[in-house]
Amino acid sequence: MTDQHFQVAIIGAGPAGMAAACTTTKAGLHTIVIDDQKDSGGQVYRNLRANHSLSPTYLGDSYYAGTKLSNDFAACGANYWTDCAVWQITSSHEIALVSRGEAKLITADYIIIATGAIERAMPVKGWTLPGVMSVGGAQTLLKQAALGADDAVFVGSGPLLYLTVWQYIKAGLSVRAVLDTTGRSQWLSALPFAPLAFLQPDMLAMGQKWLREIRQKVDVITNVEEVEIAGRSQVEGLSYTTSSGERIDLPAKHVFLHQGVIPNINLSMATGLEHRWDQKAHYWAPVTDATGKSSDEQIYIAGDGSGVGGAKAAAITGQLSASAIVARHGKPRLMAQLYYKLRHLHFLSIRPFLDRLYLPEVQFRIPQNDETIICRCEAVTKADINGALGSGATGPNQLKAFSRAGMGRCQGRTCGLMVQEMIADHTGQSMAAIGYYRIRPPVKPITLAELASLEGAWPQ
Amino acid sequence: MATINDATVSVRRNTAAPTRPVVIIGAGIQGCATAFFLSQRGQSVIVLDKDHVGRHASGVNAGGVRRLGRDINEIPLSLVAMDWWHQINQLLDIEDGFHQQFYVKVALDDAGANLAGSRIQQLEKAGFKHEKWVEPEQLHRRIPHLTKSIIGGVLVEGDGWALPWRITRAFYEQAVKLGAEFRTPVSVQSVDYVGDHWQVTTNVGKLEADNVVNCAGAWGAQIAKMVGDDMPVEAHAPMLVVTDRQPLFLDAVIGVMGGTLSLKQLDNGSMVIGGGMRGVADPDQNKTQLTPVGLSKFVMTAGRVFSHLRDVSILRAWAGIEGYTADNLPFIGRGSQPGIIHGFGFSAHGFQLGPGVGEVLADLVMARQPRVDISPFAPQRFSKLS
Ligand SMILES: Cc1cc2nc3c(=O)[nH]c(=O)nc-3n(C[C@H](O)[C@H](O)[C@H](O)COP(=O)(O)OP(=O)(O)OC[C@H]3O[C@@H](n4cnc5c(N)ncnc54)[C@H](O)[C@@H]3O)c2cc1C
Repeated sequence: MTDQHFQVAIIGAGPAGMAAACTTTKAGLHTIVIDDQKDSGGQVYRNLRANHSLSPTYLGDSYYAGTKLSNDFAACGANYWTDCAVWQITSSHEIALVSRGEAKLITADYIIIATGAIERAMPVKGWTLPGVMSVGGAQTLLKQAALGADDAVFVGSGPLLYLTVWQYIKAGLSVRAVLDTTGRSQWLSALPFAPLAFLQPDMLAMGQKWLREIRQKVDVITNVEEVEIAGRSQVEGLSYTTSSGERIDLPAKHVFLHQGVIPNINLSMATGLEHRWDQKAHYWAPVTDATGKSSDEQIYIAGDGSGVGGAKAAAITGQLSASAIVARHGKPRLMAQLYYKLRHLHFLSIRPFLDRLYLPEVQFRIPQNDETIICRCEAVTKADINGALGSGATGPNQLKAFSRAGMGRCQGRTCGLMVQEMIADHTGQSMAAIGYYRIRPPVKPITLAELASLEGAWPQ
Repeated sequence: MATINDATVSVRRNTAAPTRPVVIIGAGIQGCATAFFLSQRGQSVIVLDKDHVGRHASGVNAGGVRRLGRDINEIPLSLVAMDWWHQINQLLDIEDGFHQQFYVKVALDDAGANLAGSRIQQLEKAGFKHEKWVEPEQLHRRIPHLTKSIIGGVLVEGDGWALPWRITRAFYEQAVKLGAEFRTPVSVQSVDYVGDHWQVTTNVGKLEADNVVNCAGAWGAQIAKMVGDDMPVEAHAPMLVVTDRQPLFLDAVIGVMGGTLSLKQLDNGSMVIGGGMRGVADPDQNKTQLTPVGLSKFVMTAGRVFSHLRDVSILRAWAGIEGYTADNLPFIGRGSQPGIIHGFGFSAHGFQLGPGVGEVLADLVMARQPRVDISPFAPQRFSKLS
């Protein structure tokens, strides 16, 4: 049944996956890298090699910092399947994938899941209107297609928000305003971790530079406490309230939202790996040891998928998992593991600070209005969820059956944490006790004919 | 809310009352339907489930409500159940509870047509006329998208589908309205005969009962063992997929003769497709695993029936844990000791039977003669002792 066997299969060709592949191939391990995009780079270095020949400067140094890694990866000799999505990993480590209309099964001795992060939803009133997009989505359009929109309003919190605004103005686009929702209390709870962050002066310095250049061109409004997006069939404007209580209206056709990123756990969850609730960062992450080894001895998780640490840390965790696998293959370790561990810690040190700083306030995590949609796929509103809670749903999976929230195409990627938190509020149980949706394959879209191709050609 | 320990006390205080409440183990459709019929007849009932109402097979099955293709021994029970299905809205105070359509097993080739012919003959000999051969022209007229090469099929008018979770839940809600008490999550650990009654020990306390009904599905054999009955079931995990929404094109449930498929289109346009293939069941952990090759097999069969669905996306695949007996007929009947009644091991076709099983199990609790012959389902039929 199985078409091909590899010593190492790496899922995702972002910094973690690319770095891991460089390490395993150098040790001579038969390696496959699978990614559903057209080229390597993941979210952060998306389209880098194509952009590099054009070198649009607006993407900035932090983007081109990925050049060496991308080139090393291209030269490392790993098998690399693009446009190829993994939709299931079985307990016998069969990897089910789909590529260009066909499904296929491969097997591997070791698997590294390096599927990165997704953006946390920001379900303010009007967030599902056409014209509203996530900041990550806006940035992708800029990197991939050199597309942008003039006069957009950026709303939210976190480094990616400012980086994208900076790239926008460098690309010559006008930005109407930045509404920073980072609350005062977030600054307070983040403060004790500030010294750790100073261990990474370059990252802080970069942030300062962006901010300076942004402020020269754009209104940056801080301490924004409430946001509502208005419009009938598409965005017409938005209103916000600051800590002074003043309510201000802005006309806008494009609103870009961002509240930080969370691990993309759909594949690791569907694989049945153990996960833990990270109360400080407010997300689920797979349980791993220091090398990224999951509750399944054969499966490692590297990069943001194991806990958000950013691009540099992702590359190091990728190397770390790869080195551990190399060691388990009985090959001499390329470099002392400890060395990696130390650098790993070093890079993660700014995270406790950022986690606290950018954990969104509750009004940006859960809709404030009854009619605001929570599950986009099935158009389930906050009132619907409350209704289901009222009729006795006590967990996310039951709530699915009651309300259909999480039953759509995205399998709860967007609504999962909102629903979980609403249940926690309603029942008084902890987020960890409530648990998460049971995630089922296929974790990537697959058509009937593609699935049937494991058996043969679709009947005419 | 009263805890189970409080309840034990209140039950004891009630010793003046003529009977102790009936204890039902398992809140799937069989447990819920039994609780409903017993409550309707004025019995006091406590239902225990280690998880929650409809968490297992009864909440996640394909929802096929068919008499078509049943084992001859099972047909009388299936017909009784169907009477209830045809009045399910009034029975459970719901709307659109049952989507009455028709169910057809199509013949893909001559082998399929031959099977169909002998099946219909066999049924006629036994006096059943509900399954009928349908000619290809008529079939293609009724189901325009059907692949042209299909050469007919066996059809039952009035079969259809229902949303499994909704129906199980409705039996639960009506039972509660009629006074039944449900306690979840409460796991039964042992069932012992003490003096003149049964003592049911759970993870949160003990209960007393004169009658204990075992509706524990794939876990039924474990409960049977607690009361000294050897009733083997194997746990398996039949798999299903649900697709993206499509324009409505189908108002029938489709299977194939000599193959395994069930395909229906829900009101929202999604299709639910299944068919025999099993994933891996882990009943101790409440877990199931899907097997990609198994999924592809029945999806391919769907393609043989409706090739126009080729580019339809799958939203999700899942499996449920179900108990299978050696002859694929359920266990329904009295245990070897008085006061024990079994109803489990429905072998992946027990959803339709639910209302009929509820009625029969309620009869057995109340020492009434059921309307149908349940001897083919005898709990003792595989036991080493008999
Ligand atoms: C994928 C799938 C598709 C199916 N499709 C169809 C179909 O189309 N048509 C059809 O007619 N049938 C179908 N079936 C079969 C049908 O779902 C089952 O036969 C039926 O639901 C069985 O009901 P039940 O109440 O016996 O079992 P369950 O629903 O499994 O209920 C048993 C309950 O007992 C509880 N329990 C177990 N042990 C204990 C304990 N020690 N203490 C307390 N509680 C306990 C469990 O938690 C569980 O909730 C399908 C089944 C599956 C899995």
